[in-house]
Amino acid sequence: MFLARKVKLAKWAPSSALADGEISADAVTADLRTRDLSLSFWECGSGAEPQLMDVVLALASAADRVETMDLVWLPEEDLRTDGHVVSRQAGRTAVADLVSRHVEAGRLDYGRLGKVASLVVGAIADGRCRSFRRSRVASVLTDAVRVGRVLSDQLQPKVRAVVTERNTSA
Amino acid sequence: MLISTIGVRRDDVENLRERVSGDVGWVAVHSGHLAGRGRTAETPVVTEDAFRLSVRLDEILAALHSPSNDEEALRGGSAVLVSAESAVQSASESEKHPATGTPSSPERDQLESRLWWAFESEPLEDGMDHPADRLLAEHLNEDTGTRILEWIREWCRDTTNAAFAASVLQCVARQQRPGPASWRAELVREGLATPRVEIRDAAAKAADSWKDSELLPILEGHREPVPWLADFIRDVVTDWD
Repeated sequence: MFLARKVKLAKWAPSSALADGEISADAVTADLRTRDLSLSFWECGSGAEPQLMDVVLALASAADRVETMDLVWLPEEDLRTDGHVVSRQAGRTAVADLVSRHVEAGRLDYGRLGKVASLVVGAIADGRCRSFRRSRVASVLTDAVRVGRVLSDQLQPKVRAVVTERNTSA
Repeated sequence: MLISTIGVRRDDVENLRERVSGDVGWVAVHSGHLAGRGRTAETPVVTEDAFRLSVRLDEILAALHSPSNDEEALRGGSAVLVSAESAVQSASESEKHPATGTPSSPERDQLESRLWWAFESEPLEDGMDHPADRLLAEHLNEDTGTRILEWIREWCRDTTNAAFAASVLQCVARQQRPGPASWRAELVREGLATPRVEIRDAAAKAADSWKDSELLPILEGHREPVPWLADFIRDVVTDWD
């Protein structure tokens, strides 16, 4: 089982200011912001396209605007091996059937957060990352509204406007 | 707001570092400590916000510790913490902006500072609104000339501040096709040409957002070394409509 998280992939690129193997503090402070000692992830099975698109949908349906989204996915087992407490928690998403796919890696301290950062770097090196275009994000939202997985009223105004426009022009 | 005048000696700069806190809006350093590097003692060599100050102080300390420094220049120097208003005035009197070499102006420096603080206090996140969005939108709507477009171009190609450059470019990409198409094309072309992946990423995503016809050949001609970004650009080019 893989667990996906939204990041900004460009922040994780090797920096000429750092030695090989060192991880950018900008990436950690921007993309691994914890709350109550926890980091939010979403189950994405084997990391196949439909499962990743569900993660995009879960996150995009709670967003302020439709925009490109970068995901990275980590093996749940590696998180557990590193001593993280991984637990299922209801996710904040407008898509009811995805609420239960939310996972939190908890009991994070400085050391364990660093291990998550190492796993993110490893995932990017292994190609377990992807940048989804804005049009893909809009498309998955529009489809979800069309089939009733999410109600248009539950979306933020700018997201709703994009979905409405796409449904009108379809 | 702190207002203080101190002499530039090693101890003073160390003290300055300790005394600068989040409530200092701007710091202007007038000093002779960089005289050996082509600066004159009376020229305001830098007008910086507090975010950049720690970096600048390291540079000042390095200069002070350098054996090649002119002792007279060191004695003649002074460092001044000034209010935001007077620092902006000071900046307007200097001929060139220190970071980019373009003509400086109070309006430019004020906007730059506000953007710096906006990104510093709240990270820009994909899919989430940010105070800098409105800040840039207001200026783009109010400014009838090309000044802000030039400022944005300078900021977005400043690889010494790549995180700032990428954040500005992402916020600009959120606007409905700002400026003329030729300007947007230059912004994307220059962004893709930088060695910093953060800026190239923002440039590629701006192209995907604006979808001007001029942008397709720019993306097609770009050779991206980072795999995930290369995949993204290939997707954009393939599905261009």
